[in-house]
Amino acid sequence: MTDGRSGDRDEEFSLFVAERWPTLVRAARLIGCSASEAEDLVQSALVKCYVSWARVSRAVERDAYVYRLLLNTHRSGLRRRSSRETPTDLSRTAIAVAVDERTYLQTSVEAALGRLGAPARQIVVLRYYLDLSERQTAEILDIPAGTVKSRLSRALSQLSDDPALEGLPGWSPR
Amino acid sequence: MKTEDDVRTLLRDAARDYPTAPPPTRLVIDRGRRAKSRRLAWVAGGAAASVIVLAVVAGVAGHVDTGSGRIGPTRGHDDLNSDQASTMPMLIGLTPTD
Repeated sequence: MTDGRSGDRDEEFSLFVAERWPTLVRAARLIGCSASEAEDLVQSALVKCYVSWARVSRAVERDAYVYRLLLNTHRSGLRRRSSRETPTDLSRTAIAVAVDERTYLQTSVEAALGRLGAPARQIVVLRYYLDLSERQTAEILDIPAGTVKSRLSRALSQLSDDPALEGLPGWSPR
Repeated sequence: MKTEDDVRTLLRDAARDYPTAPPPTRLVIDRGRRAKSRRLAWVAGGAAASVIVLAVVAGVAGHVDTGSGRIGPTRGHDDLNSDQASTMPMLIGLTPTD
């Protein structure tokens, strides 16, 4: 039977999920997941999160801990899939069929992020979308802070010159 | 060269319009009769609720009944219909463990 403590834990976890769900799903999209993959990924990460909720909820930087779970789950999913699936350049196709401004923005950003490569893309999303510090980003990815800094600098330069982003509102050449 | 703030704005603008389904309305957790077993399923809510079984850790699982909106009896929410389920905040139902 459930006791009061697990009831509290479940309630706390439920609130956490309800609050963080959209951000986690959007972050998953930005690191390269399709809509359905993003939801699956977040759910899988939250399952792990629930199982070790006692540790997660005590973490000083709880969100950072959950982002780490998300990225690790993503990486292990990619490893599993890499042996049996061949990715195609969907972003190019998507751009070709983009019909509205909103879709155009999303597919352009996805294409530009895709060209950064997975490690830099994750750093960009953690740092600029989830607003983590360089230190937190480094801890989550288990790399030195200096590496985060240098990869961010290269990513910024690459995004600045990316043709997919040209002409987007607020992204005109300077 | 763009600034960090330019990138922040770009990512937020792009992400804002990603359609995200609402968070699961209920998380059904079944630990089964053996502690090793944990079966989790999310019910997305609504009359046509879809169920995704996320993780099954080896072991003998107990019963998970998500389609009817029924959740574990220990929380006192039994036989919720789909209308109730769609309007409820996420609940977690735990079946009795050992």
